[in-house]
Amino acid sequence: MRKFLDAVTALIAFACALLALALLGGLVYVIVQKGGPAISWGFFTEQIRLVGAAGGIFWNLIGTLILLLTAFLASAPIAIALALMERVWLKSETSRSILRTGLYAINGVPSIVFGIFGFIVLVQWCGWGKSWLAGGLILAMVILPTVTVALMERLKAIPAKYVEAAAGLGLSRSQIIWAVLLRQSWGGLITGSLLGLARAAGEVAPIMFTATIFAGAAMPHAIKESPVLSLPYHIFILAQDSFDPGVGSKLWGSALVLLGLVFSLSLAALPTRLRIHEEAHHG
Amino acid sequence: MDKRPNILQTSQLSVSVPSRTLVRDVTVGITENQVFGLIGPSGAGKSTVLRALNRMTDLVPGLKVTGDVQLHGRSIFAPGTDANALRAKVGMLFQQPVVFPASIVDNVLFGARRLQSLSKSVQAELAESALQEAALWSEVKDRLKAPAAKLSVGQQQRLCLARALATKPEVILMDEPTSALDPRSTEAIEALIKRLKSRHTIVLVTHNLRQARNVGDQLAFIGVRDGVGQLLCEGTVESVLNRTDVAEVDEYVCCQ
Ligand SMILES: Nc1ncnc2c1ncn2[C@@H]1O[C@H](COP(=O)(O)OP(=O)(O)OP(=O)(O)O)[C@@H](O)[C@H]1O
Ligand SMILES: [Mg+2]
Repeated sequence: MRKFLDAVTALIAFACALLALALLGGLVYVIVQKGGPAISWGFFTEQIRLVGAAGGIFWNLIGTLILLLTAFLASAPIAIALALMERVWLKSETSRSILRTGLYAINGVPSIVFGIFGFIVLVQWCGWGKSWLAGGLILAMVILPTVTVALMERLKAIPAKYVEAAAGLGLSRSQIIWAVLLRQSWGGLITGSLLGLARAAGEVAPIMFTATIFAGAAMPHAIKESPVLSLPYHIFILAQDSFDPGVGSKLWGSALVLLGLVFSLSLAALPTRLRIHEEAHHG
Repeated sequence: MDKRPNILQTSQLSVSVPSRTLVRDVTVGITENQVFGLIGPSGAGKSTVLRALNRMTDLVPGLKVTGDVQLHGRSIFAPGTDANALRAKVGMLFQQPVVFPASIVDNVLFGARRLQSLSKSVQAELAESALQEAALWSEVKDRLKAPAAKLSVGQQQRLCLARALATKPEVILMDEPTSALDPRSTEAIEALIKRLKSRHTIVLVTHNLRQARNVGDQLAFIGVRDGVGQLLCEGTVESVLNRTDVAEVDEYVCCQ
């Protein structure tokens, strides 16, 4: 009986895994088939022409990369500060769980709410108008919980014996933070950022009111009134217009590029994740 | 008796957690350039006493230390004492070797190069002399950049010793430094301890009476009475081990 149950459980798990893989495979297949023909060298290097029906997505790609890089640079120091606070300074379990709950709450905020928040605070109140920086900061808020929690997990996995050994050598608390805690946990920061960015790369809601326009922007040179183009917003706009077959292939092409970008970000996170597991087993 | 001054002197040293007292009223003097052994049953508080000697106890929330420890006649708990500087002077070697995930040479210099700024050449000299002092140089001199985790456990323990030595400590606290090691590595560490005491003072917690006899000059026995760890007797190694009138010592010695 037990064996039978085991077998059934394994079978169900296997079937679910297969289903998930099939869904993913089907998704990729459709997008590659429809978007593949649009992909060419020029698609990456040219800018939009004819309201998206012709040309490429050069500035959209650049714009999205600018937003993601800004989000990474803005979230990393805050994530480091929060994670260190949890590991080093917060002594009571209550304050730690308050911090964690706060992060999960931020994680649960719908991205459209972040978008509106950014619009009111940065675009209107600060008077930035649509700006790459506003979008980058809002995306930073979106990914902050992911980054911070990944870093916290990594910090928690550092055995106390290292901290003890460093203290025993006479290192001060800040030296221990640099030489032990951050040194051994930056992989968590990278992994968390890559996974967060993979998620954020495709979001339209946080950036549509704050940072991105459909056409007519290139490299931003200032903060105020300096929007960028972006891939997800491009797809969003084209999707509302996709009866034109010319637009349709560009739409699917853009979707394919976005998917490729997201997959590369997730894949890039893989090596450090694997290494973390390895260390956890051998350390 | 020895006329040399005590480098470390504890008086009425007690350590407690909110719920109970772990060790009470430990008063011992530790003479310079000696190996001072601490023995006693498991859980009696040897590690706790040892850790109070360089204020590692500060790092454990809830642990309260009362009484005093004096290094060269100055209280280590006096206001204004830099606990980090103290720990560089009173180094520590743990039961399990703790090597950082870095190269051998980075491990040796892990503390030293952060405590003071050293030029590249001074760093290289310091690494060599520390490794020499820990009797590891000849085994690793060709692979200083190799990951330290690749070394055997016995080598790792000597690496940890070299790392502590690189910060030029006067006292080295050792908490059962050979209990994770094979007999040959144990022998190597014991030989090292005997050599090190010409320039350092060593406080050694051990469960191994043979080791205490082999390397120890003075010995203190910490046992449990009324549920609290206390210093039950001290003196030369043989005198302590022959104190059959102290029931705890008698039991401890004959059960080995
Ligand atoms: N932070 C702490 N909180 C509560 N109790 C503690 C703490 N640290 C140590 N103890 C207790 O204090 C007692 C002494 O511990 P200690 O580690 O000093 O013993 P020991 O003599 O070194 O034993 P062993 O030979 O097993 O290493 C033990 O009963 C231990 O459970
Ligand atoms: Mg102990």
